[in-house]
Amino acid sequence: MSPTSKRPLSEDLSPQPSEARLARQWSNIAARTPASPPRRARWPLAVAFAAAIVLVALSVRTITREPTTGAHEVVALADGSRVTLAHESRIRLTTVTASRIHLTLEAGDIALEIPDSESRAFEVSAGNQHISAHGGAFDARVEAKPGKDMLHVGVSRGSIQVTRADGSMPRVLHAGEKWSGPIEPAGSADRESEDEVASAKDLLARATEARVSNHLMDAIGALDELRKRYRGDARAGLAAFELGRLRLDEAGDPAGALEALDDAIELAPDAEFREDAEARRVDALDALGDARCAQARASYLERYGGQGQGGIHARSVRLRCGRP
Amino acid sequence: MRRVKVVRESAAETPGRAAGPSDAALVVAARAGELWAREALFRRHASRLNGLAFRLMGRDSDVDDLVQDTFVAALQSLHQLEELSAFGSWLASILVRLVRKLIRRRRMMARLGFQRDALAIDLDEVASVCANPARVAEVRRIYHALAELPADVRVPLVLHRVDGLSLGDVAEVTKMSLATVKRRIGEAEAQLRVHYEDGAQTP
Repeated sequence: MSPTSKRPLSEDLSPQPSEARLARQWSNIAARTPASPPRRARWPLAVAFAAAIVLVALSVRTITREPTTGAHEVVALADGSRVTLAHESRIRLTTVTASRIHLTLEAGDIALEIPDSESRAFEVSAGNQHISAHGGAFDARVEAKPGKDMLHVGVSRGSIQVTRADGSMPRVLHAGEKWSGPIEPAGSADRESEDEVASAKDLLARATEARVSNHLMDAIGALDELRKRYRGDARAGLAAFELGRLRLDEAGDPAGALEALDDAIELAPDAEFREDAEARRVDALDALGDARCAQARASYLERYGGQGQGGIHARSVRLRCGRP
Repeated sequence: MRRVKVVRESAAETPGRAAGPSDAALVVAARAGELWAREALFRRHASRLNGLAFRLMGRDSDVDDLVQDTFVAALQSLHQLEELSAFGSWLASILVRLVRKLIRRRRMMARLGFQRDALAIDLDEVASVCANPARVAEVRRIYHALAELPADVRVPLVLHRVDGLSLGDVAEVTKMSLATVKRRIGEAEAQLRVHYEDGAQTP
């Protein structure tokens, strides 16, 4: 039998850690490796894209960058895209998903080389002007002028579409073509939406920072605010779950934990942390001596406690609610 | 450093991988002290590292500590990484070093009469994780034999037999010579054959 001639056993032997477990691991790692302050002026764009991958995981869509200093900076993305940001340019990376990358060019020059992909759009906005491409190479430059800024666009490979932010005035530019037009301020509605996402992101970042630096109540406050203010946000469920965990494990507040865990399940019923949330809910009810504990325990075991169901908390849950 | 595919990736394990920055870009940002980049590196590699730790130890109870210790060691020595895009392989080699150290320490403690079950492989747990029922028996046979092997034999055998690495890749990630790896895997395979022939190892 040749071990390397067939599919390795590891493909069948790779337990997937739950989101809650990964969060615990990262929390411990972060506590043991305090980061020194970022040297943003040196690696501004790299940092922006590093942040972006986290934003993808959390479905967060906004980040603001400071003006760059020094020469051109080039960042190669894993899909083969290359972004070149010129001296003293300023961008905001607002959306990164599998199907869309969107950034706002506020000042300076940016050049993009994008692999052809029908399923993914690379978009650049400058004021009320919007550029969209599914491949190719183009550059965009914002020229500051008294009264009204100008956007200059040039295509060196493939084709791009330039429209107003509301979709009006579409025009397609092909390789070798250039276009220039005035920039109006973007609509206030878009701005408000981006600000709201930024605020939710900031709350989660504030909670993470507070938790790592052992400011428990600050972390709890930020998570509570996030899940209450931004209930439609993708992070609200995770924030509620983390809030429940902190209240139960570290603040000694099982009643508060129970409320947050119920909220987490309601906000994200299909999330990966669902099993952890239900197990902790049993823990909280047990700590409170609440008569509903037995029902919650039975519900957990029915869902996760059977043969082959793989409930990682089944053993401890069986011991709750006064059971030996 | 030659890039070794220590932990095999499947598309399902790395959703959206192509949408983000490269490991090299994240390492650069993490070196600059950016916490987001550190967490991004963790998020990207944690699942595969958890899996490798589980397979090397044959039990779940050591996985959290090993994964955490590995990332802490990596983040504290990021400046030593020469080939930035090889972060994943470098991470795995750190984990392998920590596992060998842990196994050696526990075996010594067991010889001294302490922690006698500290290296016990949980065959039922390993089998329950196996996603392919047709391969459960093979998994049980390998892990049953593993429990009796010293660290310097056990780790190369798992990397070769379970993770499917070539002998050269095992040598690279364990920092052993190719000749040593061949000899140790040969010893381990001989042990495995004994278990196969005995036929008593299949519970």
